[in-house]
Amino acid sequence: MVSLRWRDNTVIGYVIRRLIMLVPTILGISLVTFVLINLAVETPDTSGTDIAGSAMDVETAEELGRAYGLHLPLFVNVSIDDVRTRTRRSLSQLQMPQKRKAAVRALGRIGGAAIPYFLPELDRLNDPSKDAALDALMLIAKNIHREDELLQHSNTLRYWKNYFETYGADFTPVRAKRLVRRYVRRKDRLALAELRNLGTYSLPQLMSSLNQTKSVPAQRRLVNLLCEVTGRDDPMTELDSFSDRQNVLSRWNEWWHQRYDLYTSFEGIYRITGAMTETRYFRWLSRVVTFDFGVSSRDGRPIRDKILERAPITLLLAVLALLLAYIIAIPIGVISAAKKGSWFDRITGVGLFVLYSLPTFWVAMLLLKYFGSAGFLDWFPSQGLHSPDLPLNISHFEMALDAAHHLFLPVMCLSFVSMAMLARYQRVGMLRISEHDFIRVARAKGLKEYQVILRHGLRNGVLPVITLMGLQLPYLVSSSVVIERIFGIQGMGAETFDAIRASDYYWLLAVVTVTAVLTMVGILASDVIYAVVDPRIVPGRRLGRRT
Amino acid sequence: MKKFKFKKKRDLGISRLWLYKVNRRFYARLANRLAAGLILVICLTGLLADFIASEKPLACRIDEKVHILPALFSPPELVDYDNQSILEKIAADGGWTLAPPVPYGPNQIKVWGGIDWLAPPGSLHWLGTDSSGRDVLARIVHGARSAMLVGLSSMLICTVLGFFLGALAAYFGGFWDRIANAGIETLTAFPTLFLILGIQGLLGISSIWQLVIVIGATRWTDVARVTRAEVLRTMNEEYVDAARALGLSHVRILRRHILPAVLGPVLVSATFGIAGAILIESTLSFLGYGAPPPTASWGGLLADAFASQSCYWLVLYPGITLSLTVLAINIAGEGLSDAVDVI
Repeated sequence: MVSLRWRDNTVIGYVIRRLIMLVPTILGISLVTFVLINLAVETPDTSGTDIAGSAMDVETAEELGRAYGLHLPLFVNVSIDDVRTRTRRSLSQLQMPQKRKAAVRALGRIGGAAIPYFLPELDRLNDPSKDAALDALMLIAKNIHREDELLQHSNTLRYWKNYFETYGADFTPVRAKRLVRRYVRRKDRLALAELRNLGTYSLPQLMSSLNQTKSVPAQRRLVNLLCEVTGRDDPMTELDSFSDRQNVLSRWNEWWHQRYDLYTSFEGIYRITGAMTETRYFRWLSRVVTFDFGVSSRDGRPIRDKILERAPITLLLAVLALLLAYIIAIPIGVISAAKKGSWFDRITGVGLFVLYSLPTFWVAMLLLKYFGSAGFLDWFPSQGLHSPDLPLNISHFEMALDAAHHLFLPVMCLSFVSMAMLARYQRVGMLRISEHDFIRVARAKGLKEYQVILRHGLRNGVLPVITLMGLQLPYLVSSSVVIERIFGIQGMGAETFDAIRASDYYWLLAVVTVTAVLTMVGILASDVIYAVVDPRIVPGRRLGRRT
Repeated sequence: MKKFKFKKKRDLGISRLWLYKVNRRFYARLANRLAAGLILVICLTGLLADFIASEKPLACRIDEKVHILPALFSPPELVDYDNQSILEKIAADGGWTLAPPVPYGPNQIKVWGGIDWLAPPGSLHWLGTDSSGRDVLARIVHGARSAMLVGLSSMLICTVLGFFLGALAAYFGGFWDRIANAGIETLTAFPTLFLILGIQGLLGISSIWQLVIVIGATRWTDVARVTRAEVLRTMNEEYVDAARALGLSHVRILRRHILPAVLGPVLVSATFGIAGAILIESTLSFLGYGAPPPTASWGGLLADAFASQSCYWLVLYPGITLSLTVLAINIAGEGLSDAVDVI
């Protein structure tokens, strides 16, 4: 009995070792795409003063760069920029006349979250910067809904001092958390009013309970409060369907993911771990590992959902093509090896070589032109995966038939290059096997020729061809781009086109990463199949020792 | 006493013999000869495209002045003229002209003052015109230039990169080998078209050289893998041990003893790589993300054919050219691998 213990010399051990080897490759994949991000998404050019003046441009540039973590250092972050350091920096910038305006705007953008770090420092500012600070506080007051109160006071400076003495203790995470919890539980007007008065200070707690709560009305309440606090217009209405709600949630999560460091302060252990986690690469790596590539800039849907919708179509094409290629290639290879030098061998040899050299997209165009519905023979439908006018009450069999009718041409086009290559390898493999002694023995003991070939030759000759499966997968997936384009199939390739046109960088990065990871998994699977089929591949395993 | 001096001798004997044998084995087969001839023709077409298909004549005499190769020197007097208007002017004023074999430029739209969209093959346009009224044959001729440019130069990058990385990884082994192997495995996992499309989408399409660099930077893994395997094989040979025992430097062992031995398989893999690069270029141009638009490319012509499917000449001729080119290169690669295999 083969033991399934976790040992080096079992198939299970081999699989586990291969799985561990997957880790550096995924790191490598994330590194390659990371290099791409940094090549492509340069910090937008702020040197030119276009329409709105340069100060505004710096801010919009930062907003754009935030999506890719461009405000963070590449690999190590020794000085973490959180709400506390930002507020302090803006306060010191208030004292510099030329940077005053930008600092006021920056403080206003932070909103209520700045208060616990801003108000204690108010006394230390000198007079000209005090005025600017009051301007900034005016902006903050809007965020914490104290504007009306503030306007009634003639001495705003005194108002703020009083304010801090009265309400300063309110700005603690514990209190924010309690308020949010109360507001989640029911529509508590008092809690709502107090949360409004905290402004952006309560954002971390709001976001975490938004992700925890399952109740739809609570989600709606929280999202609408978020809209109010941040000024970002993406509400959740009562009419939204389930998927709409999910999309709204993931948009908010993406928004928060991009700028949580604006509103939270890193304390204690997070300051130390932040040196690693608050970096451009770590953020990208966490996206790759969790398969969370943010939200498409084209239609506001999460990229993950779109990939889950499109990838099966591309994979279906690739797997069907792979199967077809093997089904055709192995008999051709075996027959032409068995009858080496015959007319069959010669003709298939030349034919396979020509097939191998034909461009996929050209063949697809020709087939579409001569066999497609718009073309000459009208045998096959030319577009899509199933007929648009399919009646609803047909059986599964008829549905499969319709799909097969649509899939025939695309799968043919996808598979012929692989087929030609596999058949050539199969032929060579069979010829190599036929020189072995055990074939001669099989012949000598009087087996029929087909028995020699099928039972003794093919079993060994097919092994090297199986290893090629891993190499075929990247090729098939990448060719499906063209095939999808020509046959109008809505897979990952078709979406990639629209994404390039709409500069949806997230989709591009996601699709490059996901296809690479998928092919990695495919290669792993083919290696495992090979190890199961051919025990010699597992290193250190001796046959017959444990039986 | 006369100082004894080592005389530096170049031992080209073996490599010359090797080249001679490979050459003889390669050209022994008719298919290889044909393929090599076709490749030469296509390379020359690409090189001389401006003189084979051009809107300016090869030489002409207009207004009592002789212009030779005006396409090359672009004299100011001939800016407003093309082959057709020169003919009309000669009929009126006298002079002579020598038109190129294909008297149309790749981007020339107006012929005899009018525009001929999607004209079928005829005496005026031998292979018809495309949807903008440009001559298909002229564009095929100029497409050879972009195909060969991308194929050869991107493979040059691939070969240099893959050769050095593969050789160094195999020679020094251990840690570096593992790093190089991980890099090769990672890059192999990316489906080429998705990766290159993604890069083109992210960086924006600027010029054909960007495509060359992108293909070169992503496709070197095949060459690197072959080089690595061959160097590992060669390292076990006794003459490498002997060279080590003599205390030769790493550079010298690599350059004089290992690299010549692995050159053959690398050359073969590079040849197949050229065919692959040409296919990638045409596929990308077909999808609209290859060479930027006015550049003539076979894939671009086929994209035009896809848009107007009733025109068989747009589908057939560029496709046949592309397939023949790739086929010829693949045959040459196959022949080369046979010739290199046994010495």
